[in-house]
Amino acid sequence: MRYALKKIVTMMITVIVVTLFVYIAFNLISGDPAISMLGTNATPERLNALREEMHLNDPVLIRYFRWLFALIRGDLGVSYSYKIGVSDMIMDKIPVTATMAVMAFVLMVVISIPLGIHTSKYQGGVIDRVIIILNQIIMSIPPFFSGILITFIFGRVLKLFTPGGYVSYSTDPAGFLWYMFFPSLAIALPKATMAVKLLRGSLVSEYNMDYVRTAYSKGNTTNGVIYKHMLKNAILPVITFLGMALTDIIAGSIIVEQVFGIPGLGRILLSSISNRDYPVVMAIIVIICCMVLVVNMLVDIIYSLVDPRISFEDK
Amino acid sequence: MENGVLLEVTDLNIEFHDHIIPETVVYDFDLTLREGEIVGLVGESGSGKSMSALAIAGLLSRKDMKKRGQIYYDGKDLLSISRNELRSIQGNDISMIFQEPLTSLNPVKKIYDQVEEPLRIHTELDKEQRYEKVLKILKEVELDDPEHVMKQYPHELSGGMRQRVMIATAMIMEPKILIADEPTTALDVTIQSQIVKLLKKLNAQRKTAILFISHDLSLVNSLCERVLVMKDGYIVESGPTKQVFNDPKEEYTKKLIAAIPKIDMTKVYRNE
Ligand SMILES: Nc1ncnc2c1ncn2[C@@H]1O[C@H](COP(=O)(O)OP(=O)(O)OP(=O)(O)O)[C@@H](O)[C@H]1O
Ligand SMILES: [Mg+2]
Repeated sequence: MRYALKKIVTMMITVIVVTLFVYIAFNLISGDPAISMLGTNATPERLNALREEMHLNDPVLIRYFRWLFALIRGDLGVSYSYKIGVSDMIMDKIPVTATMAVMAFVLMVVISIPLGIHTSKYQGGVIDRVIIILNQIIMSIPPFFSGILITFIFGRVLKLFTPGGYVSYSTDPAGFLWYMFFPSLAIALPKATMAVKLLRGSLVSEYNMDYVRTAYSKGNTTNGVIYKHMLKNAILPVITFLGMALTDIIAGSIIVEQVFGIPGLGRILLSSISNRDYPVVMAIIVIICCMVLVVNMLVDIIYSLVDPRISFEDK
Repeated sequence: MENGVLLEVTDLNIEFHDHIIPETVVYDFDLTLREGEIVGLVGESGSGKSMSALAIAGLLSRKDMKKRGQIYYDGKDLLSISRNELRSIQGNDISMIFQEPLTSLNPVKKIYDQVEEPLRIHTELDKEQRYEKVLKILKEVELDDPEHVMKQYPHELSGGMRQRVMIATAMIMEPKILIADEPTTALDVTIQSQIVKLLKKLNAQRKTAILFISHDLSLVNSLCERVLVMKDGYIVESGPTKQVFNDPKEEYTKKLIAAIPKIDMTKVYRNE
């Protein structure tokens, strides 16, 4: 329990540091928000009035805390360019990006675990050799390029989906999921090949363990030994990787959204950056940071659930 | 098979083919094991004791090794029956315990699941019946507070407790044969004698035959009726323990006996 508490406190400190950093960075580099909002040919009176209204004359720390407490209450500020609440702008985009991230993650797990088991069991077999070659190729491909390849193969050649034909989840949930499958695959594939390689190596090293011999001595089949004994041990290093991959997936989705023309967080982030719409950029960065932190905490929890030798009390 | 013979190993040869030159590690190994007897297998490190034992337990199935000879159990040659037939014997009629109880247990599974597993594999018992059996065998191997131990993980137990868990797992199906490969080497002396006493008790109560492998000749002397002495892959001497110890024929056996430390552990083990 104390360990969990410590984790949560560390996480809160991280949130404060990250948000402070983001806030100060954007306030220092962004120049005068009043000018950003009103344009360079606004009169000094109007600028001053706006500065007062936005409390821009207060010290930066006070402004930071005001912003932070507003964030905690769920108030993400007002977009400079659209003059509407940032939360209204991004709330319906979060499910889009989250769906893609979750789908990519599930795909990665679903692809890598059976293949990892198979290749470790039949080392040097046909699938094993194909995977090793694919690994070399796919691992060096960035997600946007795998996105382009998938668009080409599944969209243009096989015609399984219409590239650019995004359907919103509110109009057609099934069509939405089907469309999201392909960008998710584009993100998942490079990660999955890494995970296959990791799991295979991890399993191969487990085969020589004493407890495996014990498992056989009880009359287990090879599959029994693998699924009931080795997998839980071999998955440990893979869990850490999957956690890291999930954070990568969240970040990578921003680019892949562009390739597939998906109106998610990534698109707003990019357009807000070019419009210097800092409240939006800051909100999205903070949201992504929080997702990453939550994922890391989940990984820690899962890890300790799988491995009894790591207990919450110990650390 | 003749009167009470359980296991008959003849001309067992074990060869490794994982190098350019094949390497034979066991030559012409012969062993007869009768119901309820304890046979000792001694010899220096690398003499082939574990390899022979693993072959008998059906645990040498690597593709890069060759086994020749016969291992007759229950009218079947374990070297030529199918994997399925072999599996129905493993953990059921023939079980094995090992030198390192910590690494021999699965670190991420609860003791209960590990002890229960042979029941799941070899029987159709329901959950409650399995629980009763696990509880009973854990009591039989003299673990204090078995209800608590079964919820623990291997790293939470002491070395002696882990080996008791291994013995419980091996004995839960009431096997005809238990192969014990240096089961006490990794334990300290007082725990060693407890484990040896436990094996003796199980052997007396259940008539389980034990192939007891050890470095420790005084231990073998106190426990086994018969003994085989191995050197460089060959059995160099065998016979009733008393005879081999009092009148060793081979120089090698004499040397092994001479190497027994002066404090006679035999007395320690024989003390009730
Ligand atoms: N993969 C292998 N290739 C070739 N030789 C091997 C291989 N594995 C083991 N050996 C050899 O087999 C021989 C017998 O080993 P074994 O483990 O049976 O000895 P042991 O009598 O049990 O020794 P210890 O008392 O140390 O346990 C050893 O000489 C060892 O070097
Ligand atoms: Mg050995």
